[in-house]
Amino acid sequence: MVVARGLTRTYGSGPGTVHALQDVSFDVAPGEMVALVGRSGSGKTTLLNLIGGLDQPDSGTVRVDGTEVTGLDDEGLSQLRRDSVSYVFQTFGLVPALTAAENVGVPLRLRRTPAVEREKRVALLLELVGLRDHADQRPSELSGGQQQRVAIARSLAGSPRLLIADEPTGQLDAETGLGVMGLLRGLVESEGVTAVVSTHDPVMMALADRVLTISDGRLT
Amino acid sequence: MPRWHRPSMVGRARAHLGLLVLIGLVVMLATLLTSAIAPLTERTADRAIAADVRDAGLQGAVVATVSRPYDEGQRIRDPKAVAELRESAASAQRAMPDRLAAVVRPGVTSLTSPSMHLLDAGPGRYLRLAYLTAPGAAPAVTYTSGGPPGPSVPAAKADVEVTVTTDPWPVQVALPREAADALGLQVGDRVEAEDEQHRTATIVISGIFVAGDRDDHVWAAVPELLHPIIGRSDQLTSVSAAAIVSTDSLPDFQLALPFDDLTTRVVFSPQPSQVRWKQTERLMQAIVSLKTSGSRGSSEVSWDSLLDQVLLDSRATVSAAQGQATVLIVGLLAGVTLILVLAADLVVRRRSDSLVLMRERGASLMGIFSELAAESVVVALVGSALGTLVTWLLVGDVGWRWSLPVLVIATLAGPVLATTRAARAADDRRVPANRSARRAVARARSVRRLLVEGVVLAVAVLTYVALHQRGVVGDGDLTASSAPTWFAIVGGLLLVRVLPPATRLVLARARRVLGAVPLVVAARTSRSAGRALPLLVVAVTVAQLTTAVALVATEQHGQAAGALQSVGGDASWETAPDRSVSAAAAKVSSSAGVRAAAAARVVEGFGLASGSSSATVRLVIVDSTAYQRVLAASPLPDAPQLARLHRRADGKVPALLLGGDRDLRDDLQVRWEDTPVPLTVVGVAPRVGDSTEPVLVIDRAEFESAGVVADPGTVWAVGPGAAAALKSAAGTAGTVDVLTDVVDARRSAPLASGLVRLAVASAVLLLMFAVLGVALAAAAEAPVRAESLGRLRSLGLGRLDVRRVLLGELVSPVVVGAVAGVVLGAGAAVVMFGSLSLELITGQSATPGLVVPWWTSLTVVGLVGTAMLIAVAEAARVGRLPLAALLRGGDQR
Repeated sequence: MVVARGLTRTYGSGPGTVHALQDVSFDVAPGEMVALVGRSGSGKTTLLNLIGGLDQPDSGTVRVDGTEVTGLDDEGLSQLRRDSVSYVFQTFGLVPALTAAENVGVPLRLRRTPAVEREKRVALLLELVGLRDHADQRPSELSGGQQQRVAIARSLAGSPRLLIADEPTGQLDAETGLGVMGLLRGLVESEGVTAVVSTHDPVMMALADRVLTISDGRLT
Repeated sequence: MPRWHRPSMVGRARAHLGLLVLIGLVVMLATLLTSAIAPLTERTADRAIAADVRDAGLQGAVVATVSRPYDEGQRIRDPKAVAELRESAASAQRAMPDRLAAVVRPGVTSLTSPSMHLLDAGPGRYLRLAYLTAPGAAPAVTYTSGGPPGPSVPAAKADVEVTVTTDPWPVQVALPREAADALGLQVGDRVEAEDEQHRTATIVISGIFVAGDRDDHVWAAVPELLHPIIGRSDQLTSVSAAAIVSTDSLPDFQLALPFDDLTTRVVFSPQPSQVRWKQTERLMQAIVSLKTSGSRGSSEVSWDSLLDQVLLDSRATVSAAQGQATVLIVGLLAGVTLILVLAADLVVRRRSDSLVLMRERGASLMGIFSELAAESVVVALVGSALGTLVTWLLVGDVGWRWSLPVLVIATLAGPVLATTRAARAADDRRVPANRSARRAVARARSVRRLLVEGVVLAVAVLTYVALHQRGVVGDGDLTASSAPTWFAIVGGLLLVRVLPPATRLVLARARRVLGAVPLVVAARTSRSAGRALPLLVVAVTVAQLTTAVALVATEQHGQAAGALQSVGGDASWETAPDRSVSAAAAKVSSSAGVRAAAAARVVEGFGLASGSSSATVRLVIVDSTAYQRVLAASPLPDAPQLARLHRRADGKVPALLLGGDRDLRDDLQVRWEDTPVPLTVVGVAPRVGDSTEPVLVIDRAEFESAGVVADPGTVWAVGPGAAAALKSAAGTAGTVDVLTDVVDARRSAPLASGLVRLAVASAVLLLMFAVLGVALAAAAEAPVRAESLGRLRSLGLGRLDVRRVLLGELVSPVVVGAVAGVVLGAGAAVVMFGSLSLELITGQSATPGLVVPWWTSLTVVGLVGTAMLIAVAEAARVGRLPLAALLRGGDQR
């Protein structure tokens, strides 16, 4: 599903140059859940951004489901995000002006899914994440754990092939984080999604099919 | 006194230098205009007063009439007459208060006879004799024949008292060339003249002269001297002229005419340029006091002048103009206030994190306030100083009255908002954990808001009532003058109330739409609809701008309409009534470029009587068919009822009457040259001229069929060639008024042109503030928008859709605010212009019709264009930012 080859990314220039990634290569098989671990500043987020097309590498290529992400233009990347890749962010990334249901429905609206089908899918996902009764609440009216569950529901709404999660439990307490991780794992399995999840959490690592460790911009 | 942390202060200022410079610039521009208002207003008032005094001419003169002691003794030719006359003048001059003496010229003393009928050359020739003397050199004259009047006694006896037995005693006079020509007199002519009591005098023409300077104010004391009045009626020409008596012939003048025929006057002509607006009240008091002062010294001196009335009328006009100017200034200040608060709000938003941090680290509210106040004082003072300097360079003077509010607001807005933000951030009661406590806080907030809105509404009602009851008078009545501004503010607050439910309705519809863009736009707009300040800024500034533009447009339209009403067509010709004027009108009507022309006899202040009532009317005896064509061809209202003037009934002449009481219509008749003519009122007359008195219109042919003669003296013409045709027909007789000239004169009058300049300057500044308001409101929410857009882009929202979201989000509130502003501005004009005494500036008899130019709506287009430009620029900026950085930045927030 994911084929990364020779990914290099540096920030800045001169003496202050930061080598975020250096010649990183790896593969992720379809349906596999990979945990990406490493210390803060090791390059986890940079790698996830390159895989998802949120950032461009200085060199190297990324292929997602056969499509070379690094070669796509802006419209191509938007298309990729609409159809194949979705994200779960550490700070949830919900749109504050929209309700939970509306947030979950945005990817479906972007794909112009008919309203009836969309509402059915939104209801199903909110049911799956246990927030059916909170559909009309805005993010500011939800707890952190509830917000992240909405974010997970949203990330799965468009039936992506690849889900990228950047420390999805980073801002949650241990108990809530555990619940979210279990939910993520279960949904990835039930929806047949490939997932790359960066985390510090040993529980998450245990739930993953494989663990990739990154240190100073290199996979070890 | 809290201690300042200077490095933090410098750091904050550097971080937001652009915004601080912007605030300084707003202060500078506002100060530039507001500091110029006071000196320019005073100068304009001075110019207006001077113009009115100048236009009043001799009516504005202060005249002392000196009663001469009755001489019952022998008839003595007294050479000391000149000295006595000069003493009378000096006495009058001494009696005049200093403040009045400072604004009038030295008195011109005159001894005049009544207009005397010349007996030896048929009827219709009248001559007034006048002796004129003034301090300084006598007005220069050049004798074209003969010489100055001499004594009627041998030179040896000229300087001694001579007892006279001859009756009538001759007096030598000199005639101006115009008078000699009009009367047909020559040097050496000896003519007999008689007064109204048929007492005769002998007049000898010693010379004929032309005036060296026809504009010398001395001549104005006896206007007929250089401007003999020539009238023609029914083939009879009448001439009323004047002749001068010299110092040598003055003793003869006093002997030649009966004692009670002679009047000694001292005429003090005002010097318009010396009359100042601020002095007018004292001047009026001085004149009134003088008029009621009674006798002075040995001679009885009575004073008369219309200068106090001229000044009173002029003060009323100036006061109205100042009131209207205050309306504009208050509107501008409201715009300045809102834009300064909006800019301060943006600065505070940008500093929100650091302010909260300061508070959390233990900074006192007073400390935060004082640090920020120090910064805002510098910004406000620098901006104000620059604005004041530019005003001083341009105008030469500055006024502080209207600039101080700008300075105060610029100084306080930032610190107050920032301190409030810091206080709230550190107040743990703001968002209580307990749900019922949260509800209580929300209720308290709602009550506070209702209270503020109630106070604003109450103030608006109060100002409206004040405006409605007393109008706007002078520049000191802020209550009434601020009514249009409060109207706009209340409208803006109402809009802020109405918008959230309205946007929720839109959001409900957007939820049913397939795509994401309408939903996101509606949701974000619904969230930001409750932000009062940006909406208020746009609505109130556009409303004030619309009001300013409407004021100018209404006055200019009113000036044109008033001028048209006054002239009666594209041009009019006023001359002495004569039968030939009819033929001239017919010729004019067939001239190139003339669509219609009509001749009429117009009599002002004509006494009209019916069986049970009487009134003073403007009598118009006109060729009604031609006049109907004139009205049809001009923008003046048509008067189809003129056609009824040919339907004679019961032997009475049909007439149209406008105004007057109902009883006036019963048994109406006019007395024309001692002949009673019965009339029957058959309809309503059109308004003829700009007088407010009732108008009576009669067809001339019908009128003359009653056995009277009413030769026309007025011709109205319509068409592009009307002015030229009338000037050609008039030659040197009478005066021709041209509509375009009258309109130009009204528009270039000091008050009218001053108001236009102020309104234009205000409108330009308000437009700038509105544009700035749109930009600042967009900038305030830009970081939040970028974050949301980043999140949406991570879900697959394309660049084009990003632009659509931004356009929808930024443009829709601007459209609502700007359209509401135009409606509110026009609404304020509709509701309140009737109380602004606009007619005093337009010169009309009634409030001018409201004009709100269509191009005011271009303001909406301009502001929407601004919002679109901002949206496109922001879309481009958001598109350029790496999504990873954008999301990370958002996450950090």
